[in-house]
Amino acid sequence: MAGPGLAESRPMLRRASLLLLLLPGFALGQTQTGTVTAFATSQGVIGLANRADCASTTSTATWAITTTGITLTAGDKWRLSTSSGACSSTVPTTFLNDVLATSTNQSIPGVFVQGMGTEGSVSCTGANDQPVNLCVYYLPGGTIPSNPLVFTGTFNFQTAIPPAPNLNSSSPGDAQLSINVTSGTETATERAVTGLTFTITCTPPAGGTARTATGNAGNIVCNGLINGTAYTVTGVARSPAGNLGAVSAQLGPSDATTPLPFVDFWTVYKLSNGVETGGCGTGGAGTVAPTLALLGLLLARRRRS
Amino acid sequence: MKKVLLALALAAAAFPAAAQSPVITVKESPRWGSFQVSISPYSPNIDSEFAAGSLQPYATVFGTGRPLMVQALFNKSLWITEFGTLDLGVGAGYWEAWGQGVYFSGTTIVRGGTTSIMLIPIQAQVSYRWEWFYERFEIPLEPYVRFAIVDTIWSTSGQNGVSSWTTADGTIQRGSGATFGWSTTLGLALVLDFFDTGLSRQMDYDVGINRTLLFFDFTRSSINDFGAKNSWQLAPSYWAWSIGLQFVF
Repeated sequence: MAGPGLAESRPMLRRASLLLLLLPGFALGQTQTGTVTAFATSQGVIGLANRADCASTTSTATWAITTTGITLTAGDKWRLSTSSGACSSTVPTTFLNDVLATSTNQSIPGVFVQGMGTEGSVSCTGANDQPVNLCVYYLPGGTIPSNPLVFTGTFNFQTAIPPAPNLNSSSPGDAQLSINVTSGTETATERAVTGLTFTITCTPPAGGTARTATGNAGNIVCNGLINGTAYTVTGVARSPAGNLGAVSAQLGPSDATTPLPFVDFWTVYKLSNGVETGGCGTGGAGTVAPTLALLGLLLARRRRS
Repeated sequence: MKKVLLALALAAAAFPAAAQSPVITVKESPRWGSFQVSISPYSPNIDSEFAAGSLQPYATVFGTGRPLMVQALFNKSLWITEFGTLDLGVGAGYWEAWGQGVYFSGTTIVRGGTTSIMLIPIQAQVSYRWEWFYERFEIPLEPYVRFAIVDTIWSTSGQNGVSSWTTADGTIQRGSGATFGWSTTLGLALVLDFFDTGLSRQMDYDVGINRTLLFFDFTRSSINDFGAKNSWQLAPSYWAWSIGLQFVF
C-alpha cells in the first residue's frame, strides 16, 4: 500500500518543490532596499559633523540615496528628514526637504547641517556625541502613500570636545623643539579622548613669530625656531571632527624649550680631527675585497664543474 | 638548499614539535652545515685615535654603555671527521647606538637632539669545532676557533638624517661607509643533545637538526681597514664575549 501511494505523490512533491524554489525569486523581485549617507562639506569623511557645522547657518551636507527595486516615474519625490530615534513608519509632516526623485542612486547637495541637527533634536554644545538617523521616504507621484517606503542611514554630530592635552616634556634640538604630548584626562564636559590630533604652538618672547606643528600623541616637533631663544610652548587637542579643546598649561620658557645648534656624533668626531673620511674601505681593504670576490667566484665555478 | 631553509624556519619551533612526537630510533641524518645566532655587548673603540685627556667623541655622545649586537652566521661543513668539523661560512650582524647631540657652551656641554651610529658587520669566516670529546667520551663540550674577514657597513645620523661634514676645502664627507677588518674567536659550546638524546634524535628526524649547541665565546677583532691611516677603529678594545645557539644540520 505504502509503495504505490508514495509513487503517486512524487510528481506532486516535485511541483511543490519547484514552486517553493521560485517563491524567493518572486519575493526578491518585489523587495525595495536602499541606504542613505550624508557628507558634510566641511568634513573629510562621510557621516560626521562637528559643533561648528551644527551651529552654522551656512554649512551644508550632500545626501546620497542608493536604492534597488524601485521604478521611478515622473513626479516621484524623496522626503528627507532626520530623527533621534528610529525612522518612523509614517511619513513625517515636518521634514528637511522634498526633492524630485530623478535616479535610484541620487545625490542631493545643499542640505543644511543645522537643520539635520534640529530635526534630530541635537544640542550643538552637548558633552557627548549625538548620532541621528537619516530617513528618506519614497513618495510616488509626490504624494504620501498609505504604506510608505523608508530608507535609512546614520549621521554623527560629534559635539564632544577634547580636554586640554598634557605637554609632558620638551627636548631641544637644532632650531627645533620636540614636545611629548598625550591626551588630557576626560571630564564631564570634555569627553573626546580618542582619535585626537594635537597642535603645538611654540611662541618666542614678545615680538617673535610663533611656530605651530600638528601631530598625533607622542613627539611633535616645532621646526624653524631661533637657536638660543627660550620658547613658551602650549598645545591644543582637536577631535576627529574638528572640535577644539582647551589650551594646555604652558611649558617653558626654560633650558628645555631653548633650541641650540646641537651637533651630531659625526660632527663631534670631525670637529675633534677624526681621521675617518667616510665612504668604502681603503688601504689594505682595497685588496681584500677583490680577493674575497675572486675566491667566491672560484668556489662557485668549482661547484658547477 | 631546501633542507637549509626548512631547518632555519623550524629551528625555533623544533623543541615543542619534537616533544610531542613518538621516539625515533633511525640513524643520524647526514650533515650539511650549521646556523647560529648570537648576542654580544658591543662598543666600538672609535676613541682610540684620540689622545687621553682630549675630547673623546664616542664616549661624549654615546657614553660608555655597550648596546647588544645581534649576529647570525651560516656555515657549510667542508670537512667532517671523528675529531671535528671544518666550516666555511658567511654572517651578518646589526648594532646601533643612540645618543644626544652636543652643544659646546664655553667649557660646558649641553645635550639635545638625537644622533646615532649603526653598524652592520658582514663577514666571511672559517671555523673548526673540535667534537672529539663528545664523540669519543660523551663529554658535552666542543671547543672551537673561528677566523673571519669582516666588512662593517656603518652609518651615522643626526637630526636631519645621515650626517655629513664639510671640510675647509669644501669637500663633503658623508657619515657613512664601510670598513674592513678581521676577527678571531675562541669559544666553547655545550652540546644540548647530551641532556636529552631522545629529543635530539626526534629533532633530527623532524627537521634535520643533528645537533644543538649553546655556545659562549670571546672575539678579538680589528676593523680599521687593516691599519689605513684615514680609517677609524670600529672593533672593541677588548675580547668581546657573545652567547648564542648553534644548530648543526
